[in-house]
Amino acid sequence: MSTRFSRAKSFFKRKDNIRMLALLFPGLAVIGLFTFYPIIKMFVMSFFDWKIGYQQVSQFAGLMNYAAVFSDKAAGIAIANTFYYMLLTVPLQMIIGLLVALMINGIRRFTVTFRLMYYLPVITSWVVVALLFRNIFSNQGLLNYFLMDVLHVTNDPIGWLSTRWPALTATSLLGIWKGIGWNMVIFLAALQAIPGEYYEAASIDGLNRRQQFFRITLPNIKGTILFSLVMLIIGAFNTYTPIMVMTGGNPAHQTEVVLTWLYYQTFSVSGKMGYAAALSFLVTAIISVLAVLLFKVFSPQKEERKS
Amino acid sequence: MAGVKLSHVYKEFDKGNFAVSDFSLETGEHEFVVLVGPSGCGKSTTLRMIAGLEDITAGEIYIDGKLVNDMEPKNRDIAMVFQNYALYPHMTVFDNIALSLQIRHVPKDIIRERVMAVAETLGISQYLNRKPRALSGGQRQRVALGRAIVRQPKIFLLDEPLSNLDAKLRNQMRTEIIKLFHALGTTFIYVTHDQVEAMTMATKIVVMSDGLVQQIGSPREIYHHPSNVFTAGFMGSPQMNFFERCPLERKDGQYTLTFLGTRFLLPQEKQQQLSQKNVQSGEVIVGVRPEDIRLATQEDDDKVSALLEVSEMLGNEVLLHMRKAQESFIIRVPEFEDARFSQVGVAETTLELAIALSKIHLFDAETRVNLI
Repeated sequence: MSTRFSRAKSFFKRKDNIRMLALLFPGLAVIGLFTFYPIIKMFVMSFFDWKIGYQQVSQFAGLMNYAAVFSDKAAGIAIANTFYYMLLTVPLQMIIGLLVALMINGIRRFTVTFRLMYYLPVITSWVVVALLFRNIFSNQGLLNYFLMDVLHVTNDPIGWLSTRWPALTATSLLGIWKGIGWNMVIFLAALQAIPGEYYEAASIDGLNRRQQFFRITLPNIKGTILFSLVMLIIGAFNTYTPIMVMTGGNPAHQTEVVLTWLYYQTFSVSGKMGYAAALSFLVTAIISVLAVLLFKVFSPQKEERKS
Repeated sequence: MAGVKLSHVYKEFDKGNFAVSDFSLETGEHEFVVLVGPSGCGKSTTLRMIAGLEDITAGEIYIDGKLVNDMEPKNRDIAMVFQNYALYPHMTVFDNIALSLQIRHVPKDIIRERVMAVAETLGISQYLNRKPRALSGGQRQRVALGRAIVRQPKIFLLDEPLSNLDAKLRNQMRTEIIKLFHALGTTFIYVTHDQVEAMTMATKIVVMSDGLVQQIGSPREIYHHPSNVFTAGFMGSPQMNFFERCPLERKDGQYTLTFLGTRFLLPQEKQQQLSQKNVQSGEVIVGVRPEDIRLATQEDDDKVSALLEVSEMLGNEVLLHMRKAQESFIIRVPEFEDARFSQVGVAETTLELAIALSKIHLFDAETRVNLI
């Protein structure tokens, strides 16, 4: 005890340390209040039949909320839909973003123009572009107009947004289109950080363009790929606006994703706080496991040990 | 056979901005050519044009008798060592060296054999499983050399390969590269800004400045018969002393030269050379290497007295910084000659000097070209 106390005393004796704590405090306070506290609170809530009304008593529910989530078909659909959205948007955003970055990296003029054009969707409002996409895919939308009145492929409008998989695909297209620019910027920065000498050495070593891409470029942007992958997976689990605006989870909760389902359960009808907390916690667990797995797979230390 | 020939090669980067102009060179099949010059003289650009990393604006490049102007670098049968090594950071040393063979689908056991042999030669066998970042600068340099050697190319191109190493390691690697050159029996083309590297390694030196070839010759020729003021000043350290605007007079078939406030009758050999070239009276630039001025003895005729400003003790020799009127110059004398100069800061002494007139160089004051 006494040694720990004296150690603490000597820690505070150093002016640098006090200054360090003073500088860290505002940031830690904000993160603690708005991130860590809610996470812990949510974890606690998931074991109660939580009430928010005045003078209402929250009853301890044990694992009831978790049981409810696992037996809830709609929650299963929402999670499956989220995975569908993730599996469609994440790889396509990255591949197209990387291709665009490669092309922009390969040209000498108009690079700023192209970068700006590809980045514009990223900085436009989700709600605005989701409305635009709804107007493309709705029954009286642009796509049906082309199919019916221009190409005469069909006489009746196709319900793009009123069927589960087409609706999810349409929202995914929005996610991809809006995410390409971000990936392009991230990958362009990574590509530009690769010294040109590697490619010169490679061209003398006899590597053609394709071999240079797979043997030089890809290994050198591995870290960026991992970063982008983790960020996009987390982002895909957080998708909310496209679904909310384009389908509203309809028809019959067939197109709900995790966040829209949580919102519906919590605020729209039933006020099932405990249920939502349990589902949130499960989603957090899924994302954490995915992230850890990805870091394991990509980890450079592991490779070093292997060799 | 496996030589390089460049004929009137030009490289224009922007309109009217030539990095290399009218470069012509022909090498033998076992020759160590060093391109030397200050930064921005076009030496690296020339090397990169030979490698095929830069297009050429005009002219022809032949490797082993074949025109390679439009040939891909990989088809030119060359290997290159880069200044920053350009080792692939994500590959092991083994893969770095083996990559060019793997791409050419050489059988695995042969690759293994050749990489091992090269690693043995360069003393990097124990590092084959490491990544480049786990190696020191000297070891990385060896890996870069190994990557070039393993291909057994016709031509080796080396772009300032030693400039990132410390002085001791640089001397060591210099010797090793010379040994490699003799062992491999091919042509090396080596770019450096270091005139010591040029003098010690080359069988043929190409001195460049402002994109133009100043002189091509053996180290001996370049040192003893510099074709102009630039070459004379660039090769040799400390650099040659120049005395501008010195009157050279031709009277009754005898040349006399006035510099450092003294009128000298030029020795017989110089007289003949000058009259052969029919050099007329006029102002010239006189160049004298520091070692061609010594402390005068009793027997010397034309003594020049000058003020000693600073002495630099180098161990086996001393550099004396002298001044006479407006001219300052450096002389190099053996250390034992006078114990006084071994001390730092013996200044403001007047010394009598003798100049080896048979070894001075005379340059045209206008064109700055060697008159002889």
